[in-house]
Amino acid sequence: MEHAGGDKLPGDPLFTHCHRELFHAQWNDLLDDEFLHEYEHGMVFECGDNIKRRLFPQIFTYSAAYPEKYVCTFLQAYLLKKLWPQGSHSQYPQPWWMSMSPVPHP
Amino acid sequence: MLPEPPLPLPPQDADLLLEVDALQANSSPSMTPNVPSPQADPTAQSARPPSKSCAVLTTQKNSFGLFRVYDEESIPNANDPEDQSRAGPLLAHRLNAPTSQTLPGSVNPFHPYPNESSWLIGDWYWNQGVQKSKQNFKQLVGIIASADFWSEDLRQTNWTAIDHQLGSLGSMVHDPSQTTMTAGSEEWEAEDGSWIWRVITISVPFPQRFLHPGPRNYTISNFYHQSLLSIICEILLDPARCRYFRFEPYSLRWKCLDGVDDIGVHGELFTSQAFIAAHHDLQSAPLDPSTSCTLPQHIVALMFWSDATQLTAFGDAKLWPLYVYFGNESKYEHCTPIANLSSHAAYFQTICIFCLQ
Repeated sequence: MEHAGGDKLPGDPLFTHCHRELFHAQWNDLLDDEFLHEYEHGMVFECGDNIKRRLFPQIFTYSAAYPEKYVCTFLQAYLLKKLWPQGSHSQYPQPWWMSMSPVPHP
Repeated sequence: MLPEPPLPLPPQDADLLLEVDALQANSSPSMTPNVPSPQADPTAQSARPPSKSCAVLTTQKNSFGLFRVYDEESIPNANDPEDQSRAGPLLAHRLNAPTSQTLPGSVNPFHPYPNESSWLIGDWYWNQGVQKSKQNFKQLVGIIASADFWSEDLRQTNWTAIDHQLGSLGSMVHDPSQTTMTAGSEEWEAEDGSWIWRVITISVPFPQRFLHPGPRNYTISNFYHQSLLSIICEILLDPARCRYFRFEPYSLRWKCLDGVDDIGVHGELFTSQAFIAAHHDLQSAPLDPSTSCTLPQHIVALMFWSDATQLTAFGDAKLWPLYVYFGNESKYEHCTPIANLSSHAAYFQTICIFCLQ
């Protein structure tokens, strides 16, 4: 590592920051513009039961084991800001999440 | 062992079975119980009040005293996913799907084997262990000695073609319209179709104590994920999955004795306060001015979970997958491994401490 300390690793705050930034950047890619458009306006298609519907994807829960919870804790505020940049919206259902369970689903 | 579900909805013409209560709009937002029954418990599950006058439909109690309360506007019309008397549970449906829906010649339940005798021998060969033991030998003798076994049936069986078909069944289940076999490589390309590689760059602010302080980019080139929209489309285009999707939420309640207040029961996401509130909000929202769509509007509930996984007992090979379930499906179906209701959505990458140079 190239830093003044010679053989020391970068401090925890820097790695915590980078870890969170990378996690958010990957979620940013998952929730791309196309998803956000459908999130707001719904996606229309004919389902397997031959009924055409307008479907609104909503994120209800995010479950993570304990070591990941600290990363996900930041994610909640981040996603709310990304999905609802102008704050509370009464026209569409509010996103309600996240519930952290200490043990993930089987 | 699954708990007994509430009784299914009665047929639509059987109005006598339903209690219909008209609920007038209430301007008090905090105290209005979600389920407007005369004995509603004010401390039980509550949600925001419906925005307009709305009636509720109450199903009959089952033997455990459980019953469902629907908004009249949100009653499953054609197929009630809770009704297990008309169709088996999702698992049974999915197990039957390859033979009854996706394969040509669906009259043969032993497909791709031409008859039962061939199927028994094939099952013995593939499923009873690689190394043959005495027990396997006894099983084989049991098959051959069975009165249902006809050695004549084996003479015309093309075992190589059947094995090839068995190897292709997985991709055919995913694509019901596909009736012909594809080459192995094409199968994998199709499986891989909605997965995307992405390059992700973040800015790392190296502090002053470093030799080269200031922001520098850090790039990972292998973030591998699926489009969430494509997962939703794939699931809902599948008739077997769509059949058991609960688009209309309901409140599940329990009443042990007549004359005793009923109380809310917590269990599924599609009976939760959050889902009911989201559904109400969506139904009462004005039309989207950009689309003016009059189609039925519903919530697709995404439930993510992730857990970093150590891949080897020795070494540091890891994966950090992100899975997604749909809250519109029952948790009892979610936890049935063979039902395959979990979808892989992404494989997260982490900062490599030695690459950050």
